[in-house]
Amino acid sequence: MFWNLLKKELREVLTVSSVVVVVVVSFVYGFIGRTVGSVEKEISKKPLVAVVNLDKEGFGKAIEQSVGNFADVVYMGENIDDGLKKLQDNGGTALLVIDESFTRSIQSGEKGKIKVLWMLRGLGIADTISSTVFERFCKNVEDQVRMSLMTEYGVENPQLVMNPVEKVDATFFNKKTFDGLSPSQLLNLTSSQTTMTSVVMMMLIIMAGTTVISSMGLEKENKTLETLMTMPVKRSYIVFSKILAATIAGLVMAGIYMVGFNFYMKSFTISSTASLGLTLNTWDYVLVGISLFSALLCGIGMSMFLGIISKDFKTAQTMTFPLTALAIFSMLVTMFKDFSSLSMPLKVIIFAIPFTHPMLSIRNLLFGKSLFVIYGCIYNIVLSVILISLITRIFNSDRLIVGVSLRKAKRQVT
Amino acid sequence: MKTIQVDNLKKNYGSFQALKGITFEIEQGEIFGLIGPNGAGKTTTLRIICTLLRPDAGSVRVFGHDLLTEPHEIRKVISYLPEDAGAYKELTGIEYLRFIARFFAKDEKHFNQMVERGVQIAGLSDRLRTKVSTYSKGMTRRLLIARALMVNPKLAVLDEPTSGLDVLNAREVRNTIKEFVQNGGTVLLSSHNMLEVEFLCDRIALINNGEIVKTGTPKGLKEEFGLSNVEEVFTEVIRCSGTC
Ligand SMILES: Nc1ncnc2c1ncn2[C@@H]1O[C@H](COP(=O)(O)OP(=O)(O)OP(=O)(O)O)[C@@H](O)[C@H]1O
Ligand SMILES: [Mg+2]
Repeated sequence: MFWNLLKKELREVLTVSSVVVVVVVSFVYGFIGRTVGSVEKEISKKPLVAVVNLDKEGFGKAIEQSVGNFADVVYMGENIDDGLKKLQDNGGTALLVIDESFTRSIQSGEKGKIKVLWMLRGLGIADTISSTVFERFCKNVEDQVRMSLMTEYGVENPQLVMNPVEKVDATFFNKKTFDGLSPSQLLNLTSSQTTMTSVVMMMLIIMAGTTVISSMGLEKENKTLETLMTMPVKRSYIVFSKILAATIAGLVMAGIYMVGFNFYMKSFTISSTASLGLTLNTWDYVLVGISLFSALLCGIGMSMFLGIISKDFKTAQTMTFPLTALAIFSMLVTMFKDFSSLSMPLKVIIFAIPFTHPMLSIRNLLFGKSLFVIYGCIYNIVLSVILISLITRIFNSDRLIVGVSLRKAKRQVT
Repeated sequence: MKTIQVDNLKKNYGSFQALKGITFEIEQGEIFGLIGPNGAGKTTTLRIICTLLRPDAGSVRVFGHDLLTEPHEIRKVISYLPEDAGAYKELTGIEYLRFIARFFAKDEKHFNQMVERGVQIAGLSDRLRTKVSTYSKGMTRRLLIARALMVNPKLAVLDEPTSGLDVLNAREVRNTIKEFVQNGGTVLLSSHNMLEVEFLCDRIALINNGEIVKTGTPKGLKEEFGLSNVEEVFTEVIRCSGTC
């Protein structure tokens, strides 16, 4: 008896579509795992650095000699521009500038200055990993100075021996130098805004998408769609009204989220990025809006497809998983990595997923890369037009009523 | 005048032949019944006539409009009631009627007339102001029948109109359908209830396995087979179409 029941329940739960969904989802997470995996590999690597030594005396020399033990040195010399160029060509992490009065300062009991110019490749969380490696390297350098200091002079000024080096940070990102900021500080300043767009976008896609999918499932189950399609209304109106309603609802939700987030963030974010010359003008906000709108359209278009495939309300619910997975994947990848620091195949994938564009938009606009955002918008709009025209075509055929069944295809094969 | 002309209609689902060449005609002002066992192809036929499915072969003309070239014209003159359908659960009954009336009404007066007719046919009185999600099966059916007939279509296509209704409600719906025809409408319906068919239909077509095996008036068919009611005719015809 129990076995009989269990068998029936299992057949209901383990349908082909649910298994396919799980396979897709696990594939997606496997993918994320591999991206993060390559990050871990980066941590254990030695950093690539350039050293500009303007200090001709003892301590500078000591650093010069020992630096090779902790890092791969691509440039060692006296010209900052040359060093910077070498570093950029080799994709290095940072440029170390040893102040010309480095040894003299320490000898006279003051801290020696080292300026660190960080190369930031992207604004994703994982993009700073290589600078974490570099922080360790800096400690090593400092230890080196401390050691020389103690062997030569003993501990006559303990305060100085504990802390002989003053590190001055600057970050070089996207052709701009941000003085007095380490990469993580820069990231903190920008990430609150970019994280907001990522999270809002993800939630929007999931909410608007599931609404559309389940409404399609419900309409099929209740045959209300069937009724509507025998009435004197253009079928494209039926499609448009559904998509537009979901989009408007999505934008309203987005607006509410944004306002909420802004209140939450206002005190410490907006002012500080503004002081760096990182602000968005009206045109930028319009672009973000377009990006959001077009991505939402694509997401809703995709949901309509999933809704068309689903037979009733229950299958509709399983159909929301691929969409959810895609939205979460987009959010995670864009949070971990910046577009520019991705490998080529990943770049293609990330560009192809419409949701990533609004997620990256604010970050790109803050740093003046509006062209990328515009391309993203164009791509999204083209994609949504294609999706909508395909859906309208399906509405005009009898696929919607007959259903798109896998079984039918199989039957034709055999 | 011929309201509907269906000629050699064929429809496949994948490799399965659901309709194998259906031919019939309906006169204006007639109630025409499509009668057949489960899976015979009744719903498929009705869906094709209502522009929901594309036929694989054959032709359909509704009030002179060709199904393939002028589906939109057909949609203007028909009203379709799907089998076991529902309404939008978030709307109240009256809101649903108003929603539908908007598609057909020419002006505000026409709109109000339609809704009023709908309220009358539905006969749900106060319950029309509660949400459809709280309705029983029979109540939903009444609402949908009201929706289908209130717009005064030239042709009403009703797939098992009285399924799920109790005896009293079913009677009332039958009377509504009769009334609708007396006021100049035409009805194509499918049914499993032979009593209903005998009471309602001017002519019937018996359909089995995607083919029409017999057409005629209920009276004529009874006489032809020498049987006392349509149910026996049905049994005889279906039995015969398999073996004879
Ligand atoms: N979407 C579909 N895909 C595959 N086969 C279908 C589909 N819809 C209907 N069929 C098949 O077509 C045949 C006719 O179905 P149809 O719904 O027209 O029967 P019916 O006469 O309305 O039956 P009932 O009295 O049970 O409502 C059945 O064998 C059914 O299995
Ligand atoms: Mg049927």
